[in-house]
Amino acid sequence: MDLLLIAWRYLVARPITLVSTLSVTVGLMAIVVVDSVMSGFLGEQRALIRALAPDVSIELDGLDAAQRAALASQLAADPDVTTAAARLDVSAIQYCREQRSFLAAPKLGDSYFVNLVGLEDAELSGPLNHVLGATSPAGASAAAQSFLGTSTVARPADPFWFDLDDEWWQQRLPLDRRHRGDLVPVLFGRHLAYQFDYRPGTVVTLATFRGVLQAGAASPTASREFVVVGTFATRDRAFDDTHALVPRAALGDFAGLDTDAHEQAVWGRGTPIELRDRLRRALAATVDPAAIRSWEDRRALLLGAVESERRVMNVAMFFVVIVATFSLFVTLHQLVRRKTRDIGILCALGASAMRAGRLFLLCGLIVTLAGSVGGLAGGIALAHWLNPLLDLVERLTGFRLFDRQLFSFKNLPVQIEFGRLVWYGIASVACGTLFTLLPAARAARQDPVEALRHE
Amino acid sequence: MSDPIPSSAPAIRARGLVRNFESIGQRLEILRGVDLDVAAGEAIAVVGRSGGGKSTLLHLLGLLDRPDGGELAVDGVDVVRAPRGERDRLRRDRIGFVFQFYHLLPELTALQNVLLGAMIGVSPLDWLGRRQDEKQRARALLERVGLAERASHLPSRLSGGERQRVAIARALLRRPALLLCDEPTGNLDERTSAEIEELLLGIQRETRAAMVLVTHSLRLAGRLDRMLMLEGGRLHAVEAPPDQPAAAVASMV
Ligand SMILES: Nc1ncnc2c1ncn2[C@@H]1O[C@H](COP(=O)(O)OP(=O)(O)OP(=O)(O)O)[C@@H](O)[C@H]1O
Ligand SMILES: [Mg+2]
Repeated sequence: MDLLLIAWRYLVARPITLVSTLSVTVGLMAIVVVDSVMSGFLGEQRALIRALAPDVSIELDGLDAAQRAALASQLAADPDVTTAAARLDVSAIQYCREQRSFLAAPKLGDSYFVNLVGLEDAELSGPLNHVLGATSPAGASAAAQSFLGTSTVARPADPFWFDLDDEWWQQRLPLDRRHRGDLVPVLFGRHLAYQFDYRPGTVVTLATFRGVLQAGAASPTASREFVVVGTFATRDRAFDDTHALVPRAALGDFAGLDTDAHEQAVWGRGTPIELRDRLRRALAATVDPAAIRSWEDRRALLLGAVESERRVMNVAMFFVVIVATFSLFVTLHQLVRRKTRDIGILCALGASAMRAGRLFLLCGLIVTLAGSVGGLAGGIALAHWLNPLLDLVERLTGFRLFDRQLFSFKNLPVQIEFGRLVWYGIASVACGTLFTLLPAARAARQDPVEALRHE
Repeated sequence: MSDPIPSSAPAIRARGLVRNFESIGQRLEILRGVDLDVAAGEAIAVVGRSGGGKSTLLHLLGLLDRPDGGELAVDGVDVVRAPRGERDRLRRDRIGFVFQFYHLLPELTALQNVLLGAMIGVSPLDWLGRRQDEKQRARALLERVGLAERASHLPSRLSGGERQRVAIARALLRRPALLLCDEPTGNLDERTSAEIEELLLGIQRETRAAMVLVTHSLRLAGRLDRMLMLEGGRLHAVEAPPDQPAAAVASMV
């Protein structure tokens, strides 16, 4: 009790300890804000790297129809799987049928590659729904009038299979295509649609090779008309620039493949890695474990780069912790020098020199704890209100820290990761304690008689 | 206040205490064989030249320092061989110090300074249970030394004499069997010295604690049970005629 009382009285009697506390606080606040923004950016980067990838994908090559059916029913029965759907990938060429703008990059008669992703409704209306944007067809008639302003006119719950016979849609089709009923819907990446000036109702001709290419043999080709029903946008512009989504069954038919799916996309509970491991165990009898991969497995290289950014930042943050807590060493060193006589007094009252050492350790601990808790709380608050704060600064001074034009998101991405922040708190308390330890050890070694003679 | 200390062992029994210091490569033999017996409840004065080693001796007796040679028993415990924890406990529970420069903690109020001795080594939880009793006792002690009104004042707002009163109250809190006073009036003016003397002697009689008091004031020394002089690193008894001790000793110092 003596230690607590004296430590407290020491600290409140000395404004300099407040400076130490503040330096820890400010240091930790900076760390929390930087970490949260960095986490936000890294999160954006992960989303970008991920694009449309499902949690886990299972390669279907080498499985016969019976095995595929067994796999599908097994996935459907799995309580951890929320969505399972087959996918098909086909490359195609899009033919620029009409040049609407002379400024637009694609010229009349040019043809461009596009990767067609054959998806099922379950994925697009489920876990991938967010790429479609928010416009519902109920509001589409009004909103779709300016196509680029409305990212999509697809019904989020049922994006492809809206009623093409619906009069609203028919109005948008070229006259000769109306009421034919053989058009296949397609969603283009927003950026691609923008370049080609695709709008809802635009009919696009896509061509592809049918079947499997064979050297020396002429390959049959097929072309078909698709009608643009909307756009999608992932975080990855390059992906959006080169991809289009079509119904899987129609794509299989179009491409004339002897398979109707390349992979099984699986979404489920827990992290993708956990889901992958669970599926590998559960499906061991049917599927080679190597064919079951999480999206992180498939993008390991790029994600590795992100992780190394994170590691570099951790090291940088550690130095910030050291700098922020270093002032404790100075403060405590000075305190011990000033209070040497008190050590002798405490000893005369029956304390051991060890106890005097602990007194200063406690002083340092109070300072770091107060600084760390304050810094964490302040940092979290600052990170939480960072964007409104930046807006306010911009409104007051005209200074803009974050240029929205450069990014695909409107605000600074902020992601507060409490688990990591706790570690920063622990690191700062540990560092502070370490810096306190040296002066405290000096106090503990102090000879009480010399301390009493100390002026 | 008048709790008698239940101890029949002699407060101090020292034989041939030796203490040397190294100073710039030079060996200073400060205590060269001090013999001292202080019975329980006895009050003795130690006088001697400045630099003679009086404070050094008190530090040995108060277990703040260890002798380089000799035997020392405090309150019946052989403290030369006792482990450190035992010495700390003895110092806390059985010995009270009063210093020339008061040695109060400047950040604590008078009451907190007095209470400090009772807090040492007590966990905050235990302290919650004991706080009221100890506070009451500390207040009673402050009242005894005449400072009941100043309990919440910091030392910086007290006069020298008042600070020494606080220091005396602090020394008494644990009901020590042995009071060690190092020139308790050495820093005070004539009148205040006389007041502090009265207080100390009164308290010594009330508590029946043994007392070793170092002083340059022969008037004070003469009022104690015995007077010893530290000279040449040894203690000598001073036999002074009771009617005029000061003159007799003055001729010897
Ligand atoms: N740690 C030390 N190192 C070297 N010399 C020391 C040390 N401690 C004390 N001394 C010396 O020991 C001698 C005795 O000191 P001490 O303080 O005991 O004297 P004193 O009798 O109390 O004197 P005063 O009446 O002035 O207080 C002094 O000469 C002092 O310089
Ligand atoms: Mg002295």
